[in-house]
Amino acid sequence: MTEATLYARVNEEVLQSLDPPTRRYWMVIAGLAAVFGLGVAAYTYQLFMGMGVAGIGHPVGWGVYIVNFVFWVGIAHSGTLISAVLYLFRVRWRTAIYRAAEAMTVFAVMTAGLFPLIHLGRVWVMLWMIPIPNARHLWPNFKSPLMWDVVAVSTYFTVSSLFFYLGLIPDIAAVRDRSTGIRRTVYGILSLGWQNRYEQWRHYARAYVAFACLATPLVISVHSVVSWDFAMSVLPGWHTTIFPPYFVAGAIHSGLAMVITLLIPIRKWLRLERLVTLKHFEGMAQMLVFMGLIMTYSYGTEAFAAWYSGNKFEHQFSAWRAFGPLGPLFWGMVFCNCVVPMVFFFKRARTNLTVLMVGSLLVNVGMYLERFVLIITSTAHDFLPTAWGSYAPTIVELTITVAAFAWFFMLFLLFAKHLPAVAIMEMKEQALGATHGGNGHG
Amino acid sequence: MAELGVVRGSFDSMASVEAAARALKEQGVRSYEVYAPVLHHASMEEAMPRRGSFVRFFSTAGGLAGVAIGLGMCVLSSRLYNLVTGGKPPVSLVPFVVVGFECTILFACLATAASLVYFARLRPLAPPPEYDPAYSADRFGLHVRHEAGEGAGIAELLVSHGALEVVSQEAGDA
Repeated sequence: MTEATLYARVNEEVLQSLDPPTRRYWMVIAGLAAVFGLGVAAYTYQLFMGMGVAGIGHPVGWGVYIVNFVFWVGIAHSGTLISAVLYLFRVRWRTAIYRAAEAMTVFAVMTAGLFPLIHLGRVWVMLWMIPIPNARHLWPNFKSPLMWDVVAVSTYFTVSSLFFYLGLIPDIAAVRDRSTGIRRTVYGILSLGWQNRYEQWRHYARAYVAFACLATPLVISVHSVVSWDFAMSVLPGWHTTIFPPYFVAGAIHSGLAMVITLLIPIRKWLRLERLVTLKHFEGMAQMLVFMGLIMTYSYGTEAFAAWYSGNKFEHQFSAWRAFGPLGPLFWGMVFCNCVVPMVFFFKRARTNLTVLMVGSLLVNVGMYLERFVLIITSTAHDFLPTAWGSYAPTIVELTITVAAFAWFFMLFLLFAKHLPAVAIMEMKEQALGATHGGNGHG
Repeated sequence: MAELGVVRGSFDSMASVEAAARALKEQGVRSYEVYAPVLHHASMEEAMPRRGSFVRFFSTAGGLAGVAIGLGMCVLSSRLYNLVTGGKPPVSLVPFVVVGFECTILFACLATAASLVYFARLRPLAPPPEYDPAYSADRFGLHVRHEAGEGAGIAELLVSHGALEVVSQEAGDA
């Protein structure tokens, strides 16, 4: 097969996924938009009634809103891992899946960013976090981990959006060149007049590598900063040095699971089976095993330190977390995050899409439980028995939580049908490399 | 400056367009442009009049500006609100390193993106008429600008290096 034929085939296979969507697609989008609308209504209700309609109070001041924030930031991380870190290590199987993973990153950070604002209550005071001259002469306290978080997450959103868009430019140009009418105009604007000229490629290649090099330490720093929201406090269960690497590992674990969960149906729906193959899923499942082992080690280290240190606060807290009223959630988290991924030690499980789908869904559930257990239990059961309490989310919090999932899936579905979900240019390079030994991107 | 003619060759492989570009360079031709549906191989840069990029310089400059902006923002805002909070003195460099680091990455990326837009001349406009939509699909292009009377020789060179189609336009042609 000639080089040109190979390129034409890749072009055709990816671009056919952008054929006009069916009525069923728009009905699904409408359904997700309706659920999101319910969330907006619940939030509006909270805005008018006050934070009393949420279940948070004393002693649990951080409820599912913060759980959702940490969960969605975590989901975002593996997108950058797949697009930047695996790119720098020249991992070939990333090519077919990194675009979807990057889109997931951007949408997950957008979702995550909503929750600190929802949790604020009086959302208009968010302006106080921006260092601008003001009549009160109040300035942000940059010594607080919460302000580090504002800087880190907003940086992460900006960088991951730019990285996502940068990768898309040549592919949007390919869509533009096959489109007509209004679609051609819109894709023409989005492609920034890209012409595939050498003069553009030589700068593009350098910029792409620079972005990958910058995004790699960023992804590690952002979840470390998120973990410091907890670890910089003195609460039992939170005040531990293992949190930054443990949070980074957890983020990658949950994000990988979400990529698998999204890609299995998308691949079938967009007829991308020839580009996104079982080999790609196998690579992700192997990484899931690796991250599952790191998670198991982290949980074990936490429990061991609590027991062997002799710190009675840590000790009683650890025992309560595992065997108290929230114990089933703790053991559910251990099962989903540590036991389930071990199934993928077996090749038959790694190459079976049903097992992969069930396994990745369970890891998603496990990671949500982990965020819940981690955030709720420490504030519910700290030093003084007289200050102990409990927490259960209200219907308002649950509605907003479900709406966040609808919002995320709606954005992802809109992306999958309107922008190339597989990187056309890099797939061409990879296809050529497979047949002619080409040297690949960058 | 005198008006130039242009020869446009269309190729079906990176190797043949690279060989044609190399031959042009060896003949002393300086005004040509390659179009490709994929990122060129490293060896292509040797066949082109210009190589390398200043983008990384801007990434570094952006990063250095970012660390200064991040630390400066923290120091200035803590000087304006000169109270001990969290048991730390108003100007505490250790916590400010986190903000400085994030701003380093942020400004390095913004500078990288801005320099790419500038150097690659990215504008939300339609491509010029000489651009062939097949360049984003499966075709490579080599457009050569030349003085009057040189078109035939260049067209012959492109054909001899595997051009599938060659279109010549002399200076002054519509």
